[in-house]
Amino acid sequence: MFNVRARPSFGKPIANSGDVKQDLGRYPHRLSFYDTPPQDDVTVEDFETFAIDRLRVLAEIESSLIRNRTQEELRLVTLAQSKKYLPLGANSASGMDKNAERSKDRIAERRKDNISHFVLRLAFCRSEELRRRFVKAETTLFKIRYADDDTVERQGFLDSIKLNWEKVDEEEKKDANIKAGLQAQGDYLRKADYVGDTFYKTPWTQVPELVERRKVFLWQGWAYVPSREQSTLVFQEFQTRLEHALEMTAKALPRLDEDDRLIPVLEHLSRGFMAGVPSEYAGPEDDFGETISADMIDDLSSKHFPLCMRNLHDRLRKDRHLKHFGRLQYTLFLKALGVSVEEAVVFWRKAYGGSMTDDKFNKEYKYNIRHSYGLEGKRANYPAKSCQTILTSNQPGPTESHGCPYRHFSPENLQLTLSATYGIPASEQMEIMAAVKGQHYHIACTRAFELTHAKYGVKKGEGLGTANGATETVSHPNRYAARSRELEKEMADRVKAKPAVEVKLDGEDVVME
Amino acid sequence: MMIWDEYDPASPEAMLQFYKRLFPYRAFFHWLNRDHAPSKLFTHREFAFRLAGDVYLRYNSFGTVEDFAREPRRLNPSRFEVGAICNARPKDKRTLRTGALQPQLRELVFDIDMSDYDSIRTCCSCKGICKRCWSFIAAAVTVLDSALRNEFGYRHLLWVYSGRRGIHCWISHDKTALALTDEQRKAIVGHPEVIKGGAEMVKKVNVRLGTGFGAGPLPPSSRCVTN
Repeated sequence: MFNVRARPSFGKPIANSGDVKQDLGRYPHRLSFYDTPPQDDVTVEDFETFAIDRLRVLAEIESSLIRNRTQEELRLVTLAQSKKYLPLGANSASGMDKNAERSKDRIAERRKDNISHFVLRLAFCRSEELRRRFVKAETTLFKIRYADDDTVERQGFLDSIKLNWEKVDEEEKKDANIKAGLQAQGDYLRKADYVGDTFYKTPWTQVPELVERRKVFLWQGWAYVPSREQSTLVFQEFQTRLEHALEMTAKALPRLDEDDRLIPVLEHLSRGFMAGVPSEYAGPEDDFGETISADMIDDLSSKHFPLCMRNLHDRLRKDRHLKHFGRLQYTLFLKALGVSVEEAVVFWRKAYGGSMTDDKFNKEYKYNIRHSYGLEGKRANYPAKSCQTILTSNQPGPTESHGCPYRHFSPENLQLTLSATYGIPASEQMEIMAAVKGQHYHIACTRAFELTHAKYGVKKGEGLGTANGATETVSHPNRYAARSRELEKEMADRVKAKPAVEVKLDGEDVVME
Repeated sequence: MMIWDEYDPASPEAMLQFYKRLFPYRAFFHWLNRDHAPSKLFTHREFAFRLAGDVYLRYNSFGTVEDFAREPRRLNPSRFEVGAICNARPKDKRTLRTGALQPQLRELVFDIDMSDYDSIRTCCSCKGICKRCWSFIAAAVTVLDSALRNEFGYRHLLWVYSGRRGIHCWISHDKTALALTDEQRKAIVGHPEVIKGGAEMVKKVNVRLGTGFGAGPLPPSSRCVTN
């Protein structure tokens, strides 16, 4: 456990690892059972950012599992995401004795891996549900990393963890009973050259399933496990230890004696896990080359907006009115979309139309719009709300339209809306509704994105696009809109590049089609 | 005075004499306690006494062998059972809050009953046993004894006639055996199991892996047995 009485300090640098030729200090192996919590000081900033990066990887794993990806896809996606956010290089690749820099990197990577794991333990130990999901994601990550390790390194790692195993040396294998037994077991299992494998013996009580199914040779209370069966045991051990540790952590958590710095971070992290990957929307990456005027918004809404914003827009048009939180959510969205404050004022003025006088509008609404843009009051530049924020704060009441439709609509209404707004047929809706039922709202929205953008060539499972093998799911309404506009632009560019008339040379003649 | 012809060892009079003069309380205590001075293995152990008329008295426990010896002589039960070692003295159960008394360690005992062989024995049926069908039990004992000793490494096995038509094997002297979980016990029982399938299956013995004619070789344990 974290020594919670030690106050994290600010900006303490990573200790120098010292002699490069020696092992990597506290982190000799790439893999870890996370038995030892971090002992050194961690800045509050690192505490948070490390954890968020790890969360991105775990969320991607969870997303892949839910979407029933194949093993291979899962592996590639995870490795890509890990490379981006939580790289973990191997010992052998570092050329340790030559390159001091490399081994420092290794230590830094492993330290980050270690710290981020323990922070997330704190964040996710609190409920049964979170613990289960965390264990599942972490075990999967471990399995992928384990498979990816080379045999020498893996062996080194296994030798280091104190599992209840002993390697069976050649002398022992020569014993008459053992030899005959192993041979018989090999014959029984119909495996050629069973005896030639490396064996590990462990008390039979450690592997009851293998014993019951007669998968291993038993002698004097020891089970002789071939190295191929080992990996299953390692994974089981990892999972068991983690489950146990989380229970311990949950019990210790109320006694967490600290100031106000860490609790908010932990809260934020566990909410992030719920909504998928937490992210800050940094503005449209692509400048679509045109400023958005108030008149364009209707068109944009039907083509590019996610359901939450589309809903707000449609409601605004229908009722000529939105309540406070709805206006706030939508205004900030439009701001991030690239609508200038002047155009925004025009848009809202027209939206409310004749239902109010100019005067009233200026007094009650214009100020707030400008405030959202950071032009009034304390001039804070409020970011557009991410999915996580929309899902968890300010639950909409009966007359309100903000929030996330996948969460806040009743299933019947949601299905009606999906048909009416996006024209999604009932057959395709099943998957979306299943995701909603599982409270995976971002998956539902991503699926809707895939279905409505099929005409741009978006296939199932692609989400908001793949970058480095990692599929992006919807985590921010503006990201949805931006990607949608990108796809439209790409399609338009492709059409422009293709000549209107195909010119072929057919012998001497020029044939035009 | 009792005439030998009419002597019924199960009659209450005979049982009382048995408890008074013959039952080896001290040896019994040493065997359960695994030590001379009473430890939790004895003091926290539940005993259940069955009286005539199927009256069951549970949650008895004793602090010393003398206390223990007094009870069957007083109650003259038709039988009594040795239970689990709990986290508190079972006789204190009423003073504890509900659910506070929990079993922690349990004996590892194998029970082989003749009725399991009813489908293949032709000499007797139901409660009857004779020298012939007892051979089935003998065969079972040979297999199990060898498996427990060779494969599982248990060294102190106490085989006792169950009293009616079977045999019990108590794994003694081994603390790890007491601590086995349900899953582990399932494994130890499932390991030598070769009869699979319920009443409707015809050929139940399925020792070899692989189906039909391509059946593979025997597992090591069964090999030892056939040899």
